Amino acid sequence: MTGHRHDLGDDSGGDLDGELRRLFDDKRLAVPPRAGAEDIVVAGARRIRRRRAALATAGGALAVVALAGGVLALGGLRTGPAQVALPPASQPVPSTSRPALLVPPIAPTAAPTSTTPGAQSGDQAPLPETQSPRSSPRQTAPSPPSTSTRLPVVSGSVLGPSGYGALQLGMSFEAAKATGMLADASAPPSGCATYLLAEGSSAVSGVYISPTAGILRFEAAGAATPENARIGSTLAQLRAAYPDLAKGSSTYTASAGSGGSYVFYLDDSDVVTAYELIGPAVTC
Amino acid sequence: MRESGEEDVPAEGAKVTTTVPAVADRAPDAFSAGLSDFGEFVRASLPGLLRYGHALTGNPHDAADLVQTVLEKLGARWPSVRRKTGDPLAYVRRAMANAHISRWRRTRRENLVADLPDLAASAANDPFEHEPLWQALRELPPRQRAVIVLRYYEGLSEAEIARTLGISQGTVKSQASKAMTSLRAKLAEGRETE
Repeated sequence: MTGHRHDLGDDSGGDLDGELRRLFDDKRLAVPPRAGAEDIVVAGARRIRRRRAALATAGGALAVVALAGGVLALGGLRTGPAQVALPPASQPVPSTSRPALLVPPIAPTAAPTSTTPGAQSGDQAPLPETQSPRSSPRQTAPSPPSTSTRLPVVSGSVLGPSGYGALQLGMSFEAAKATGMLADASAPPSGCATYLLAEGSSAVSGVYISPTAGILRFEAAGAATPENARIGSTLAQLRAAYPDLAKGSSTYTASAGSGGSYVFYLDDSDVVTAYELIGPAVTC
Repeated sequence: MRESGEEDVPAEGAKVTTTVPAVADRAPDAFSAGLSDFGEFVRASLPGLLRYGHALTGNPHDAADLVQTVLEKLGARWPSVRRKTGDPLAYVRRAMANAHISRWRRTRRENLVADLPDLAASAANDPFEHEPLWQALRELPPRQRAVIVLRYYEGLSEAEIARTLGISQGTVKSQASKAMTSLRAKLAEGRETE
């Protein structure tokens, strides 16, 4: 690429480039770490790790069930089923993967998002937090107990070709809210925003909605496409299921029919680590 | 920051963890040993990551929340990250950009990793309160803001941004163009009202 340093943003010749660089160089951007912050992060990492380990053992049997259908349509399984099915089950959205901590005293800018305590959608691992010597007292604050795992949902959920259940690509925020499927739709979006589903995030981890263009995309967790592609599918399986599969810069896309597309994110072993159903209006 | 051409970089930050193998059969001791190394990494990288998060999110509270979220997930698979990634710092920064765009914030939690005044006070004492450009950036949609930050904070090329965010170069171009247009319009608007 020639002149790639100028391929962005220089089109009107203003000094905005320079102003942006100066701003991002400003010393006042510094945010001081709290003392002991690394211990807090390490303890958080341990907690996630333990939860995953528990799911790896508990989820294996269910995973076999969940994948049985996929084998028919997509051909051979790759490696161990537990490994395939673990990601969706063990990948809650980030903030639900930790105990819901105290809500800050006041959150003037966060009204729409502060209404759903993270743990409400279910920390799926009922794992006692007893072996973390480095946890701070705050981190042992109990999250609401979850009496069942949500794994069974994984086996039957289908994302696509044009939506998930009553939620459809392009549907307005108001219409989406009216389905009752959104978990946290107290206020209309002022900008594009991701919403959780009331049913939890085991099948679909988020719905991205624009105030003008409606639902722009669905982020899959455990749900499969109608062609039975899912997280854990291999590139070969995708190719078999989607003859029009096209390689992008770092993703693969395939037509979902009905104007939508699937975008698959693959890891370095060519296994799907995430995928999305997106509408034709991809920008926000 | 430049990164090498590794292909195992996640296109989506929160998706970093999806390739973690089953761990139940691993000796816990090995993981604990690996975590001391991770603790060192966190200690060394935290100031820079918090600053970067501030640029990405536009406020220090969200920055701290984003950094904590991404680092905890990284730490949970640290041994594997160390094996596969020569530059974990670049990996984290890319994960943060992606997480910022799509999914990291579901709830606002009490911050744990940064030393901050409470939100009301910090909103009142925003150091960039009188910076028109900062205020204009605040109004950009997350993806556009991320493109701008990757370009002007990280110094990435269009192709690198495309790969980092898992979008096409055409999308990077259009997002950047929209962002710059909005920023210019906002700044011009501000000047007119002065």
